[in-house]
Amino acid sequence: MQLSDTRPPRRIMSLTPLIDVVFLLLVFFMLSSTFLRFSSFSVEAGGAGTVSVEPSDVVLIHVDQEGALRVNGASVLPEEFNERLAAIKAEGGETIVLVMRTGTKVEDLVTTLATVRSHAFKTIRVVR
Amino acid sequence: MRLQPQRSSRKEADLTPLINIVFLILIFFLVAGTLRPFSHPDLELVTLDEETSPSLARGHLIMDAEGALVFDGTIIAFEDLETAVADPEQFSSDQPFILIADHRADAIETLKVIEALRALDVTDVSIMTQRGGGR
Repeated sequence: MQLSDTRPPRRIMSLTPLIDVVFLLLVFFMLSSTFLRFSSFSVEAGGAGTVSVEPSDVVLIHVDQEGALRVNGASVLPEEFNERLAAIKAEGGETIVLVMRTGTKVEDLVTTLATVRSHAFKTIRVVR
Repeated sequence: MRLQPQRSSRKEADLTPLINIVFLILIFFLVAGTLRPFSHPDLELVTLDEETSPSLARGHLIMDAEGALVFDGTIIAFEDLETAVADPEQFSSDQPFILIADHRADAIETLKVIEALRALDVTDVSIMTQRGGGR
């Protein structure tokens, strides 16, 4: 008895479903990925309360609209702010009170706080 | 004179080079990109040049430029913050609570939110920033 070969001729596997899935993955990663480098800036929330300090030791920094700065009432240009803080630190100032005025933005808060922190003052308070 | 038909029989286009390139792009995005930690339209973070602290956990509370608060994908009012952050225990002490605030948001409102969180015993609050320059 003679048996005939019933297998169909071998065909190339279709790649279309694979390409579909790969395209889907590609679109997903293109839309959901970012190349920004994120970081976080700690703003520890201190409790409300009374702090006893010598009034002469306190350095008041007002942050006004558009990021304008006043140190103990005197206007300071943003580019001079760092030097002013260094001078205060050299004179022995240890307590900084940062006053955020109405209309200030988060950017002003974070950048000013970061600058003040870089001088390693003992106490930094933010009030509104 | 008889001309041979010029066209060869129609074949399927060879897709292999295309697939190669698509695979390459896919692997590039897989390796080089990171998934965005939040999804909110028109949110611009504060750009801080200095490296303040290592990367962060997951974002929790979003505050957009108009001061609207979004917690877990739903818009909440400031008064509902206490209800929304119902379980402050989940924000364990070793991981800061991340406030994703737009750089144009009002500083006073942000401080109010931080104080409200403090009242809920969430003391370790961090504002998410992005690193600028030095690419």
